[in-house]
Amino acid sequence: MGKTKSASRKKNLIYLGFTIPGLIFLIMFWVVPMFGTVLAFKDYSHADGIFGSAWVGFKHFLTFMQADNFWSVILTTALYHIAEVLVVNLAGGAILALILYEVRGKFANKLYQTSMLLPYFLSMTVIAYVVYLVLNPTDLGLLNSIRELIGLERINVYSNATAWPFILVGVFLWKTVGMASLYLYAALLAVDTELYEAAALDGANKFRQIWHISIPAMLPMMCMTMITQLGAIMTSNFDLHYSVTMNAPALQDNAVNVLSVYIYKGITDGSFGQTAAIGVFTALVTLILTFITNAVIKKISPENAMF
Amino acid sequence: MKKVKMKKYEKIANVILTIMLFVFLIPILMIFIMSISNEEDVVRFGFSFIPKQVSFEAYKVILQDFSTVGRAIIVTLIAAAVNPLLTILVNVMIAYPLSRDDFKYKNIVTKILMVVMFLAPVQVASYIVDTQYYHLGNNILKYILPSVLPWTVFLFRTYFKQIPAALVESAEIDGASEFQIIMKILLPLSKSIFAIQYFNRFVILWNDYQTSLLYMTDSRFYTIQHYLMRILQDARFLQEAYQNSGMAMENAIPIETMKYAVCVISIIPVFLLFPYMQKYFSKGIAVGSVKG
Repeated sequence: MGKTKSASRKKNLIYLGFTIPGLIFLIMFWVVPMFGTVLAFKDYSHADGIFGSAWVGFKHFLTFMQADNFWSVILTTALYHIAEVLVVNLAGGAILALILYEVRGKFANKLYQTSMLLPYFLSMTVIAYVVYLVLNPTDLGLLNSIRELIGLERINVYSNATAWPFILVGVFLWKTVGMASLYLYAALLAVDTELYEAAALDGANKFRQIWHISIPAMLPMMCMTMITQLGAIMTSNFDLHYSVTMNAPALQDNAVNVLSVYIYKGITDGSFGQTAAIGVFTALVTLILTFITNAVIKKISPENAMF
Repeated sequence: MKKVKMKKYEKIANVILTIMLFVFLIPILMIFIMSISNEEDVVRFGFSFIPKQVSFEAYKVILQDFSTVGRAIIVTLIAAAVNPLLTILVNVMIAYPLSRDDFKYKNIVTKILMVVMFLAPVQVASYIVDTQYYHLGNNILKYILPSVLPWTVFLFRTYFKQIPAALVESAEIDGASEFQIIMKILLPLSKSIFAIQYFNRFVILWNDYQTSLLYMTDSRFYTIQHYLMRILQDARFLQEAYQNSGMAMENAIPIETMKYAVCVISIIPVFLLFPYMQKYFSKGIAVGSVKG
């Protein structure tokens, strides 16, 4: 009896030992910066460090909330995120999955899947190169070559703000739609094919079959994506908005004007206190939205809830 | 009659997806074509899908002086190869005890991870702590040091739990140590999930731009993505490489094609890994749905 007790004690010590490297990294890169969040309530001075700097209360929060462009940054970030989710995860992904489902040929199916996935693994930097190759305002750009060929004058898309929501969502669609559709395709593969045969026998045409069988099969995953993405509404892809736009001067008020870039610029400008305050604000918004969405998921499909 | 109808839809699907195949592949092909175009033609006539003259001069210049591009690639390779290894190691070491029912502190460790999952320190605080206190600015350690990723821990824990307990128990009865159980039973049984996690993280690190942009002011520590962005925005950055190469200055510097040649080189490692990624991918979707 005593022996097994000491054996289990030894075992638990070994187990605990396993977690130690992880705990050290957590203390260094999570706990310490977490305390560093007090930065949001301080005027950071390089000499005094985070913990020695003077307290200023909610000054930074008031400053950024009254700043002219802050709420437009929030709005731009949210609108881009909603557009991306709707276009990629819902419309694009579902349509591509439905089309892919029609292809019975094994080789062809695999080939299409491969081509769809390739862009997903490219960096946004490489994609910025492709976009630049097309939109380059000088003679080198493909778009301007074509325009000159058909007798139109050259344009500089990097100074035309209205085009960019379409370009950026399009680029994002091109890069990620393959991955999004594969998840939905997996949901379609789980459907019993007899359902389709029975529907066909009853005289249901293709579109009725899609409407009544395929779409309901994909719906749970689509709903789940929608809801979880709501919690992530403050996220914006830094590389997409910073690299692909080339951080162009004319796009500062719209395509580049998202939270991730705003925070990056805050850091490089050295306005640490205010940037930290913005970080605290968005973290709170994200946390609240995550809890709300989790509660909603718990109501409609408890097995998919996160906690 | 029915069969014919089925065929019709498959045909339409094939046509659409073949068009999509080109949509997905042509932009990637364009980078390659640009990199092997003749610089003079490109500057005079712009990009063309069928280059008038094929030229490998851009690659020649880069390979002559590989020091700048090569350095960025080596830095990125070290980061992308070592960091996943350490990250997986640290996370698996937490996941393994969590998968065992006899671990007393299971609940508290899980709770800590849940908090970490939902609360991240603000980016500025991490930045200042990293640069002012740990001196990770202009330091390759910034790329290499592992992170604790709660999702990854839970993923591995769930995976380890699926391994039949009887297997572990019988080994324990035979007197196998904890270490032997991990090495002889757990690791061989979870090869595929290790591979997926490794490749995934490799690609994330290889494609990472912001870490380098934020933390590295010294160009010696640039990752390849950062280097690529610099040469795209600032041609002077490339001229340096050309001058070091010691090639004759009689021709104009093939700046435009050189940019795209570096771009092609930067894609190679990811494309080499891609077939493996895809092989494990079908399993990945199934494994991806884990509950905390």
